[in-house]
Amino acid sequence: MLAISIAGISWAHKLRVGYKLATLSILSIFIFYVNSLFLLLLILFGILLLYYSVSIAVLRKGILLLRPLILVIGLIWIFHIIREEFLSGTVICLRLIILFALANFVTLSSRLSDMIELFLWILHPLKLIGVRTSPIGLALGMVIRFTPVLIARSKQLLESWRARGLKHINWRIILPIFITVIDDADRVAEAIRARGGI
Amino acid sequence: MEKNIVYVALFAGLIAALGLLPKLTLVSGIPITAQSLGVMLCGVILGSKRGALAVLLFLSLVALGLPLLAGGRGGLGVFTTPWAGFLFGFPIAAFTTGYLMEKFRNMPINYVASISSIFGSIIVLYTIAIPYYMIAAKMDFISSLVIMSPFIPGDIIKCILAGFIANGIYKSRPNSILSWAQTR
Repeated sequence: MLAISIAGISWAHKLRVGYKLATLSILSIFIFYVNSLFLLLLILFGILLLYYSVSIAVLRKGILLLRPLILVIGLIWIFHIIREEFLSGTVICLRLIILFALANFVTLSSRLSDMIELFLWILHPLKLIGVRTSPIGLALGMVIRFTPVLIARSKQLLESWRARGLKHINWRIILPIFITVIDDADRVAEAIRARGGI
Repeated sequence: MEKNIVYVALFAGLIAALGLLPKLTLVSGIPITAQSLGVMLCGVILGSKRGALAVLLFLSLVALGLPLLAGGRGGLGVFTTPWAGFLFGFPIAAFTTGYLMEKFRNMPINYVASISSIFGSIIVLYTIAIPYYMIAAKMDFISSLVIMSPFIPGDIIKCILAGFIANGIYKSRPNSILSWAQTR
């Protein structure tokens, strides 16, 4: 399945995911103390340069990811303009864009496998309170493996609906999707138990 | 144990699959995305804990960088937007929905599922999402409510559909309604 991240060998890709996430967290807090419009614009420009320093593909994908945010940010901006808070409204909107772009930068430049490794490492302390973390790894793997299967199955069911002459996709399609998934789950659970269980 | 983990994992995958379905149109022509319906049904079918875990698993994979949210969105960025209150609220919504399902066993499932969904996935979810939006976007309560109100009718319809779907699943696979299973 396609992840959002873009493969590469740049400096950002070589950096440990843990360091990137730690930097992201610190910067995300720091950004709330920046109130100057000029400084925020400068930071945003810096982030674009950061994207560009990795590759043009990453810059393009980064801007593409920003697109759905435009409407959300636009609404907030308009609201603040109506209330005659032009400056503070613009600062809030810029901050949101910066936060979003920074977080996406980490996702774009990190391999899924590294992220999962870090995620399982973060979950380690759960062992201290008696939670078994090994099933979490198994469950993650299962979701990654099964999601494309379930998507393909859903599309297949939709196709058969269309083949029978239904033009519009009706909500009723959800029931057969659920039932096939439940049957799959029962079979997979049996198969795991047959191989020694968890 | 195996059954629980597999159900949690496959339902997490199901939320993703529902998000990537083309928009469903109701009779009246209102388009709805099926993803939040998936969250409701996780609670309805899996019950409180497993339902919340399935949603958490789904969100973890989104955060780790899979484009599983409706419209192919994903990554860490989506958790920084003002709408992220919905994402953070999803596991709690599924938990509440599942908890109510567990409390009202052996009653007509479509009513129980619909009402549980209304409480868990509308009232509880919006109680989390609206204040989050207010803080993130620095907006007042009324404006936030106005911005979110277009989604509420669709959400109510989804709750009703959740009841019908739960009823269908109960009729064809009665043992799979884990929230009603006696062995806990």
